[in-house]
Amino acid sequence: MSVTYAAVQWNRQKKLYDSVIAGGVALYLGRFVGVGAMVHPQATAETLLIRGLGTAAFLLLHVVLSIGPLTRLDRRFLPLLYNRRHLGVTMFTLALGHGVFSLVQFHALGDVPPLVSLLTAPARFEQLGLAALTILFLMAATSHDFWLKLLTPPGWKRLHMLVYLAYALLVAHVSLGALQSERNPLFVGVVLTGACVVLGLHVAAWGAGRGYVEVCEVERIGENRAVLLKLGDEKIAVFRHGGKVSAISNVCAHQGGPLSEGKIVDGCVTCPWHGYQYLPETGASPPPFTEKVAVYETKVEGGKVLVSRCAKTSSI
Amino acid sequence: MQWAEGLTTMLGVYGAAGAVFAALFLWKGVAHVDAGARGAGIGFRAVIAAGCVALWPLLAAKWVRR
Ligand code: HEM
Ligand code: FES
Repeated sequence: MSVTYAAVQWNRQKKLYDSVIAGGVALYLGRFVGVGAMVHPQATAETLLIRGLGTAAFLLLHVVLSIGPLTRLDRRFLPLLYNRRHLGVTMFTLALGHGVFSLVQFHALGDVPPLVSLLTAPARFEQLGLAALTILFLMAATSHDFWLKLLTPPGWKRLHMLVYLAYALLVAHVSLGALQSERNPLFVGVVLTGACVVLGLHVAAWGAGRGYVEVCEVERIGENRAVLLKLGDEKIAVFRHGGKVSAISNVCAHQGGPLSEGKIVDGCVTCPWHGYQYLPETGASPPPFTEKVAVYETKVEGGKVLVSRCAKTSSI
Repeated sequence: MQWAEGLTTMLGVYGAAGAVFAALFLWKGVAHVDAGARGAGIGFRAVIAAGCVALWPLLAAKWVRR
């Protein structure tokens, strides 16, 4: 059920997405260095570049972190989610540039090897930046589907959840570094606003995702059969089997076949189009297959079936 | 100071071993560990190379178990 890997699975939408990222980054860096040179004529090109790359990466990290909750709040943001991995890798590349230039600029001139000088620098904020960069590196390096399969989706997800630790480290990196040397209330305001946006969106999405929707009476679903539930653009197949109710995405991972029109055969939801199978509780194809579709929490209350608005596990 | 020197040396050794391992793994091992990599091109190998250097003990364990 698998295909041979490609470096990147390109299509028109991803190319458009990537052109927007590349154009946006180039525009930002150009403006930053141009305006910076006018406002601070005494600043060197290296300094401006270090600052431009650092702020661009930090800004992009806010976008990366906001996309998840935004799509949960409003499905119109879904196109942003589509190629988020490329956004993440771009962010890492900018951060790497910032880190390497800083290392060269501030730590390569003494007798001590640069990395030793960085690790033992009395100002701790740079070590926080290095720790964050290490996390971002691991995430960027494991962004290909090969790693998703090797680390298994839950393992991969756990690794990529470290992005929140990286974010916390970076807020500290900026607060103890640039905000101390600049002492400009505007910068403090910008960093605080960014943190509030990220936190606020997560809290809002968590609140909105807690609700359940009523589907129908349990009896309306035939044994080993499903009914289709539409939540906005999302289609969910709600199955009844052996006294239990399970809900998975209606869209088959193979070619998008309608799973709600299939039935449960040998304990597996079986797609009516070409027979791909999924365990109703986990949405995963039985081993050795590795396909997976999203799963939703369900409960039965007063003879009625309820399904959570938000997927428990998303197909990444 | 000394701990930092020790740490960077260890990192260097780990990375060098990883680079040697990654070259071998991308040449021979990857197709054993994941059938999807069979016949995959140089671009795919380039994209996963950095991860192979960083996570080489994990890959080595998977390769040996095959
Ligand atoms: C090896 C890792 C890193 C080193 C050595 C490093 C070093 C530095 C230095 C020397 C500054 C200037 C502080 C000042 O002006 O007082 C700075 C600022 C900053 N860094 Fe980093 N950093 C690293 C990683 C990162 C990462 C991963 C990010 C974000 C993704 C980041 C984002 C920023 C931002 C937004 C600023 C404030 C703007 C600026 O002054 O450049 N840094 N960093
Ligand atoms: S679409 Fe082919 S098996 Fe479901």
